[in-house]
Amino acid sequence: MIDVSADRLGFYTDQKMIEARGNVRLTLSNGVTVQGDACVVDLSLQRFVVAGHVRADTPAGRYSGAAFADFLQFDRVYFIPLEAMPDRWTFLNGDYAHPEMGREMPGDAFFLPDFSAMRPFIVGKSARIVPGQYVQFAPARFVFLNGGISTPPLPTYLRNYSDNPNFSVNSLSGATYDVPYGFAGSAHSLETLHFRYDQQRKTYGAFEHHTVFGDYGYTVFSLNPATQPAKQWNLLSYAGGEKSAVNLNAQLFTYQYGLSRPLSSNGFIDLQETRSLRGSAVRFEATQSYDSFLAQPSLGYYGDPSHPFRPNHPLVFGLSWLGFDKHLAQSGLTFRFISGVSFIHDAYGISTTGHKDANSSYAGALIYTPVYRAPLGTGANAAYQLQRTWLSFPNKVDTQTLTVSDSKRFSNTFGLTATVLWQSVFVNDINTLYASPNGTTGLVPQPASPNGLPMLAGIPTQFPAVRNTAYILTAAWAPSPNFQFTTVAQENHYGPIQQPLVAGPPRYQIFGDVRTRLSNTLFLDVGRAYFFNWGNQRWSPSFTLQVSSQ
Amino acid sequence: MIKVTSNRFTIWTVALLAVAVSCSVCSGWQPPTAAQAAQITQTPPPDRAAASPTPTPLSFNGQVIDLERGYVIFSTGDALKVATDLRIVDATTGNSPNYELTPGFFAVAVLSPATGLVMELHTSRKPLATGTPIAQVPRQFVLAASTPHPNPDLIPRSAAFTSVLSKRVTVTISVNVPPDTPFNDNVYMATDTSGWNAQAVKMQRTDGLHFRIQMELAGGTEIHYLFTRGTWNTVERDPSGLQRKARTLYVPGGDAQVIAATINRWADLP
Repeated sequence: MIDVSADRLGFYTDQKMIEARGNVRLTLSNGVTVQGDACVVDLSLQRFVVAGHVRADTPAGRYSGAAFADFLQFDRVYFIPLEAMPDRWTFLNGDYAHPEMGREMPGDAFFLPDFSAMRPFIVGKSARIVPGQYVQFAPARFVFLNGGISTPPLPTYLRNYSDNPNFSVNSLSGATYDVPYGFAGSAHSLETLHFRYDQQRKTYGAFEHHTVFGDYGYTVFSLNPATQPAKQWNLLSYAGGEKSAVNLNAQLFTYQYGLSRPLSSNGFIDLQETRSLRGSAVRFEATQSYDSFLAQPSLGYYGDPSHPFRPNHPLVFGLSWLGFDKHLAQSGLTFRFISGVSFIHDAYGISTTGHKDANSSYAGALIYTPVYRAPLGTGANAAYQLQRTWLSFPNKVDTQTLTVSDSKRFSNTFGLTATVLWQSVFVNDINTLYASPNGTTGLVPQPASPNGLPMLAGIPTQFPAVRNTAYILTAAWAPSPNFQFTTVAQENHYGPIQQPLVAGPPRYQIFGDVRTRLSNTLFLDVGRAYFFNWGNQRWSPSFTLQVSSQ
Repeated sequence: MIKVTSNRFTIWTVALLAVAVSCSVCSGWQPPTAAQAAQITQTPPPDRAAASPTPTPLSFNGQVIDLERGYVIFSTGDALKVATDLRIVDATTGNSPNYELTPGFFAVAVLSPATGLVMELHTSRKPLATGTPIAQVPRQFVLAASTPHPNPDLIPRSAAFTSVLSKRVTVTISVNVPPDTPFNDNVYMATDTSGWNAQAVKMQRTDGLHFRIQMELAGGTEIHYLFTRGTWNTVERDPSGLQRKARTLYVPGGDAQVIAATINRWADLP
């Protein structure tokens, strides 16, 4: 850990560097204190240099000199002493008592990057740096529009740049925009406030907490929104290793003002345990829903003492088996199998079936080819997937997908892929379905599907027999790493009926997307679809616009 | 024979003096003395010649990280002694610099060849083109109490090749996706350098099973990444459907690097 303070301190996000100027003071976790005129900390390379009138207070005594560079990852400190005469000293492995004198140094050990043409993203007076984990500014002043706007000093801001992806596990619902503000944390945790906007809730605030345990464990808790009465409390947790893992997903929905007693409260909990076997894996999953967590009102439900208050708590649990990919002898084909069984209980009746208890089972297979050389210098491949699901209502669901693609690369930067995608769903009884909360039933879980059936071309399946054949042409052009253009033209033939505003996807649609570099680390994505006057719709309602960091 | 030679020497000496006198009449040039004339004609062999004086002052440029206690110290770690009457001027205007000389400014140090002291410092806030790079300063001018000796840390790794001509490395990543990947979905790389943005690097479809991306990265870059379909709910998983460790990309150097990866499963698909 490094604590830096100075008259002026700037954080250059593009460069991942911090520059400090004027009365610079660094305190390291090993007790060493370094003071000087200027300092640059390189967060990527995990090293820093302090230059100009340097005084280093070490466990072995005080040294004064011209520059002090610490390569933290290598435990090497390079120092230019000016005690009696200039020299070059290297402190090895934290030994400040016995410098190695005259040892050659890296050529850029004391180089100070030139930031004169750049604006810092954050300015402040002090920062705490945990190399490879996070940097924390207190207070922080943000600079926007190349210095045109800056915020007043804000409370502590913590920016996490850990290489552990568990810090990015997201427990919040989607939003039109989301501005995260980390305000506390450590090498293993992060507390973030989110300023969000979406069409339904408008502007609101949320809170999210992350705790990570190595590569295979995390707990994420969030309250979203935190500033409106309709609250959603989320908990995601994952613990395990390379052979097995337990995954918990719980959500609580309350209606409450502030943190007062909720007026309503319901939720669900989903628990998964996955174990790897030889050549396959098994997963147990249970989902329990709770219609209400509130105690029975003293006056009874709806104020009627005779009205029973029995909240429902349906349960689904099951076991699924996932086969690994296997080669089919010497044919070049690869296949995999999946299967599962589950039990469903709902005291108030499962969906519209009226059954309180039911079970389901499913089996499926996927077989596919590699990419074969085809005429005209193209590459062709195919994949076929089928699955049958039995429900004890009774009901039976068959789904099939066949994909055949042929691709050609015209140059290193441009390629075309032509694809025929054939999909079908057959249901014995379209009225006895189940909106499954998890995948062990063999049905498509919510919210990906409203009724458990697969969506074809993005359309919920509403008929007993549905087919769609899509002809897709994808063109991808990337003349440089800084510019990418993709366009997808698609023709759909949907049955049994494909009519605007009635059923089925647009007959023709084309989608274009451009991604171009805005700065060293920012990209802009702009996309829009055209529907060829399908139901009087030509263009998609709006552009998709996204600025993302790389 | 000796006498003849002597006569020839005398004759040529007289002739040269005559020419010199005739030239001096028109140009004002003074004739050399007899001793000078003897030097002209008796140039010693090169290995016995006196040291040739340096015709111009030595000047070295670089980034200055400190100026104190009579030394100017460059970012190479080289310290030069400055004269007591050191003159500091702005390299462009020739006047005193109107900016603060804090660590990191650039300068050309003009050394006196005779004393080895820095007589003038021409400063700038931008790198300067004049002068010799400070890394090439003759060692006799650099002050160091200790005798330099090699650093074993700086021996290049056998697998690493770095070149000034190939600072940026073209890295091509090609990934084989599961066959049940929804055809209209995009594939991205989420990277630690982006704060694990799930859409950090967009990949381009090359055929029914492959996506690729070409990036230019500096040698020595290390990136951790995972493939996604745009969100963390659609991140890649291992064959059992378990969370996998982040992949690591290290760019050792050279001109190009090709990486072939395979995604076993997606988190949201069975």
